[in-house]
Amino acid sequence: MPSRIRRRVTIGVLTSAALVFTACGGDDDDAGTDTGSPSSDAPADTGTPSSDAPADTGAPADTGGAATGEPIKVMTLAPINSQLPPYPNIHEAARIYGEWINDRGGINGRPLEVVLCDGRGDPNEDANCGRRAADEGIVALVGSFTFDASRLVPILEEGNIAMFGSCCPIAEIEFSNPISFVTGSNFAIPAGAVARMVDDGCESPAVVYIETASLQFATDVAKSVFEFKGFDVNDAKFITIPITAQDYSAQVAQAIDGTDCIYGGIADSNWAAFLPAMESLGGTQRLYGHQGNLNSVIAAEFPELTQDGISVNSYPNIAGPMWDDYRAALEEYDAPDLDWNSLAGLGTWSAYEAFVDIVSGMEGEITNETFLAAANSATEVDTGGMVPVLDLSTPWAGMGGAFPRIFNRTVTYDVIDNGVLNPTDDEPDDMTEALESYQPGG
Amino acid sequence: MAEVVRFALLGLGLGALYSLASQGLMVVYRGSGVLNFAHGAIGMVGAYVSWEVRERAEQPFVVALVAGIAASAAIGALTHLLVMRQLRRASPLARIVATLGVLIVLQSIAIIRYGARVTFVETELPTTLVRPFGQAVSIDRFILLGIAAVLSLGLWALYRYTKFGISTSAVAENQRAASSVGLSPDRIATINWALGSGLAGLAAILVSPIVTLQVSTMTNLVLAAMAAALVASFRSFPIAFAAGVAIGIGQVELTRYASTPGVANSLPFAVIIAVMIFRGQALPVRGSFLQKLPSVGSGRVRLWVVALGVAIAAGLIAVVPTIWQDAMVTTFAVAILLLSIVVVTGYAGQLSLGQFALAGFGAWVAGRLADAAGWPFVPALLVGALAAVPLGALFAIPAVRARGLNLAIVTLGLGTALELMVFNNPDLVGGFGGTTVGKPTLFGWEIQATRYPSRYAYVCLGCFVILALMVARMRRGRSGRRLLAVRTNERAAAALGISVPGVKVYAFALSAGIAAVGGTLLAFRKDTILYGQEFSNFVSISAVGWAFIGGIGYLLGPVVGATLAPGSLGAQISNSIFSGLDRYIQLIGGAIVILLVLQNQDGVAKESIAQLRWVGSKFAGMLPRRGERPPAQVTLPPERRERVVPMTLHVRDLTVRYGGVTAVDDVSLAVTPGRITGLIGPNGAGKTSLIDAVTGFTPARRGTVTLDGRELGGLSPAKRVRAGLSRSFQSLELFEDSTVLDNLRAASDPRDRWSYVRDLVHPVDPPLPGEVVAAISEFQIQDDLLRIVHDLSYGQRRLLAIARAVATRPSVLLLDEPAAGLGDVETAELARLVRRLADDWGIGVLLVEHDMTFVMNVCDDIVVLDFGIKIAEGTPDEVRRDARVISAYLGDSDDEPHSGATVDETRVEVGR
Repeated sequence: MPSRIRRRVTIGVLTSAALVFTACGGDDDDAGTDTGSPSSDAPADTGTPSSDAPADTGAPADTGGAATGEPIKVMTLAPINSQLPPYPNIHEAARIYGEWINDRGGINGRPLEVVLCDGRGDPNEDANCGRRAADEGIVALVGSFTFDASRLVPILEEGNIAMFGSCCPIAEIEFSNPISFVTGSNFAIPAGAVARMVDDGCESPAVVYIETASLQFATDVAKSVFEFKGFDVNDAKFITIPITAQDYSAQVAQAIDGTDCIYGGIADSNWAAFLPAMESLGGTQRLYGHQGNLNSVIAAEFPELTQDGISVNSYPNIAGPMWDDYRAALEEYDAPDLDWNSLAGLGTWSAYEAFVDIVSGMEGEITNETFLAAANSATEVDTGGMVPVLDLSTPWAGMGGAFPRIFNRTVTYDVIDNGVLNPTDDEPDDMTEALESYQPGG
Repeated sequence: MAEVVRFALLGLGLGALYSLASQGLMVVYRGSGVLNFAHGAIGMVGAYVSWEVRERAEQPFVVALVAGIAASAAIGALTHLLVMRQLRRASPLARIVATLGVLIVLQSIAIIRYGARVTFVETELPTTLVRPFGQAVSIDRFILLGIAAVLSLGLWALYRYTKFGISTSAVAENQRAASSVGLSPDRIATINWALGSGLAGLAAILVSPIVTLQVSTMTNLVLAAMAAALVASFRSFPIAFAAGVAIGIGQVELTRYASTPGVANSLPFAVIIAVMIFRGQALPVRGSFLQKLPSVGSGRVRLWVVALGVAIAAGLIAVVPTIWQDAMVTTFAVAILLLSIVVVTGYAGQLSLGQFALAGFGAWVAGRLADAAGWPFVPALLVGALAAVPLGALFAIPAVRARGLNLAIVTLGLGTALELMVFNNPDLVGGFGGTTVGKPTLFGWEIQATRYPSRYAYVCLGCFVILALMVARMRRGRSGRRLLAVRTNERAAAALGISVPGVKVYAFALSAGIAAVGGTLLAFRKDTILYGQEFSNFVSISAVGWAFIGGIGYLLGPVVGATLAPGSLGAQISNSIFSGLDRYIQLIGGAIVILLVLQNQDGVAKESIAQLRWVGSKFAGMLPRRGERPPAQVTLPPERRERVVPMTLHVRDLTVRYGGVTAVDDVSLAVTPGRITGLIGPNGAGKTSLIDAVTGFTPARRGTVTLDGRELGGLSPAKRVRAGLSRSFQSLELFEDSTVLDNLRAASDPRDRWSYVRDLVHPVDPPLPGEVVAAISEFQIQDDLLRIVHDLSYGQRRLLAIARAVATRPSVLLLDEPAAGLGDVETAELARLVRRLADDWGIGVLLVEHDMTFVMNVCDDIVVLDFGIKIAEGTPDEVRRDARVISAYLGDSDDEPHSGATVDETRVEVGR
């Protein structure tokens, strides 16, 4: 497919990605208080393996022995001191993972050295981090995030350094560049939300999007998924809201008029203004939203409105057994009071798990180039259920081949009960077919 | 129809928010003349304080409400006392920048304390659903609407009926006069700041349950509320209320019926533009030129200094680490953008808050050409710049009828509309994925910024130097003089035959082209351009602030100002210095902006240039002397004294009205070549109004004005000057910060449009016309040609004003009280000069003057006005003894002549 069409296809899916991540609660202390601690009554049968996860992922057994030998040096980049929303939980998760794994013998006995780089929300600083990675012999950027990777990725590409385990790519180059490995599934969340509404029996759903450059594409994809699920798209309503929070009464009035469910592909700041208007207009629709956006803070603030609402997730709820080590490590290594049930926290930890899974199976020298080759040939990257077992050797050809580096298209769900997000018993949903039902220009 | 009503009801809430936000904004403006961009931030602080008191201290709502309002009021009062009071004589621009500094400081403090999270606020208003016309609406929206209505009525009454309100109006009208009757402008301004800011706090507290409490939400609301305030001319609270509600309803209706992205949110800005176009004035009113402006450089550059600077910059690019090269790329690209602000705001005096949008438009054209059409970098850059030129000209259309703060709001609106409707439109920008620019090359040399940051930095440096040199040439040329003339005094510029709209269009168009180059360079430093992210128009406000801090009238200013931009050298340096103070960098930056505005309103560049000169002079002093340097002199061409083309001015049945007042009523007169016609009458007789109408500064309600048979009605003032009609002003209206020579050149320069382009490359100063040289000689100002006007004595300035009018080589000259303020000797000399203009040059002169001796001595004919009506006409002797004239001057109610009295004996009473 010509690159121009591929780029066109990129429209809007990226918006959803951006929206999901930009509201994932990077520095939200309160959010951390609300959701950071694992739920003691989390269901055991989440459908994901747990007991054998460490062995499968190559993560070390808890031997207590210190790692020795030449360190495997990785970098995690995130905006920390930034005018844009900062994500200290990405750096903290990476730091804790490094300490945790090294205290358990490292990777095949070698210590993991985690270099943290602050992108400051500035593409120049991102590029600087990339150059530093090349200069310092970094094996890969793991679990990193930037609002604008357009300067970073070319530098990494030139240095043959993988940008591995991204949860939430925004720039087109992250979806298409061969050094990029997107292991989060936030790309599939909108499709997951639409499909879930249909599966839940919504008969007249409303889809609410933000007025951005991606609007048309996001709408087209949603329609396509409706049709894929056998739902008459004419029975669905599509509504847009301005990106900055204001009185959304008019939009809410449209959204609740004759509908039974509302999916909001909107940020948490939009939910925060949307729900008071919905409350004042007496809306009772079942809500669907993105992980990190229809989040614990929103749910706790509007327990009645969000009752039975569904958060469509890129990563399973932190209460799940696949996060046992994560939760334990947060406690053991004095994690600061941040939102750990977030894309940033969960995404970074799972990215490291996937990285270790690949590296622990490598033989010979571990360099940026050998890792890149190993990652590109990995067919069963197993994180113990944090993300599905991934085949990184085959770029995704769906949606016109516009997003070849999206390796994870499976979503999970949380359900809101009394203002608390709880994992559902449902199997993870692979949205690949639903997404592939979209025909560019069709 | 039911749907329309339904959405109108739903729009009431949004309208109430706009109305509430606009009230405090207007109070501050009325009390101090400041457009407070920190208004939303001040309200935000009040809302947070209220929330803290309510939720954390668990106090009753009333206590929290009072605490929040008090906090906002206190911040407002402190903002005035600590910042704005020091800037009371500063330009509007300086005051806007100061409010930006306050905005940054307050938002930074809020971010440090609350982060980027959303804070939920429980509403204290009832939220019962009511169903007017069958549409469910929460009753709190109606309550908000009611509060906004009551507030607007209360404020209306406050400013109309109370001593405080009337005092505020008096101070706003004329600060000096108000002071003279015992009013304290400072105290009144402080109270208004406190009141307006308290209202901001109240509005923010009331609306925060609806829009939630976030650091920047209130500021976003205020931008839209400005439209309501503007509709009300920042004066009428009830009109602002109605306008806010109407805009809110209109926006919601558009939400329902318009599918194009950005249309609904652009409505407030469309309203702003419409208001300006239909209600603005083509020329400002009398006396509006007195605002102080930041000083302007001469545009003279020493090439060896430029070469040295470029060599140092290039050397640095070659040796510094890549992160510093990236910072230099950002610095030079932003500097180009700020250079565009130097042209449009520094030189032309047009306060534009849309420059980032213009830059983005150029980048958009270039980017799409590179991406969609595969154009190489250089042609795409050039076409992008050229494409921005007509858009800049479009921005100038409102500028023709708006100025100062109104223009600032209009350009902000235009830029924001561009952002909403183009940069966020998926069909136009290549989708959310943006525009991919590939690998730019320059003559086969790859300059991709990520791979070759040093190369790209050289390109940015080169572009800046080339454009700065072009702007310097333009500044020194005729175009620059025209820009400065319009900047300093639009009325005076028009009176010299300069097309004020033409100059504004040129300034906007040129600045748009320059901004587009900067925008394209900024955009192409990345592989993918995300226009909505890169060119958010709100940054335009900050950009003006950076330009102002750097020195908005100086070519060095953009380089200094650009270091304040994110990702620039300044940011890189502050990252290095303040590595342990990351959380406070924004706060420190805001504080620095405020301090810089307070310390130096001409910008850092002016001070730096002065210091460099001082250092240079010290070095020069160490060198062996080669004799005394002769003082700078102007070599004048030979003078030529030729009689002007003889033309007769006929005014027939001229009537001028201001509202219900008739200033000139059916007056006819003629001014013939070589004769001096006096126009006299008591104060308020309509003399200046007649001159204004004849010269096109005031529209005539009825009557005709012809010059040698050519009808002048409908012609602009500039065209009337070019037709042969020139004037002086009672208040002189000279270009005070220019030299005497530049004042004369501004008057005598040829008006060809080609010079607008040629000046950018090769400015040509044609020799002064022989007639102007003769005028210089006649008025004996040859020794003062290089002096700045404000350094001249009052008498010299009076003479210069007439000389400048003569320099346009008029056939008919209208002099408005040329002898006002002069001593007897100077007046007598002036009388001889005026006489020679008529006798030797053949100019027809219409002389308005109170000094009856002067009038009686020099005039051939005299026309007398009283209350706008011509009461007498004739020779001085006839007029002197006219009973009606004497009666008018002595104020007698009947028409009985005063035995033995003559008009010239009354000069003491009616004259000086």
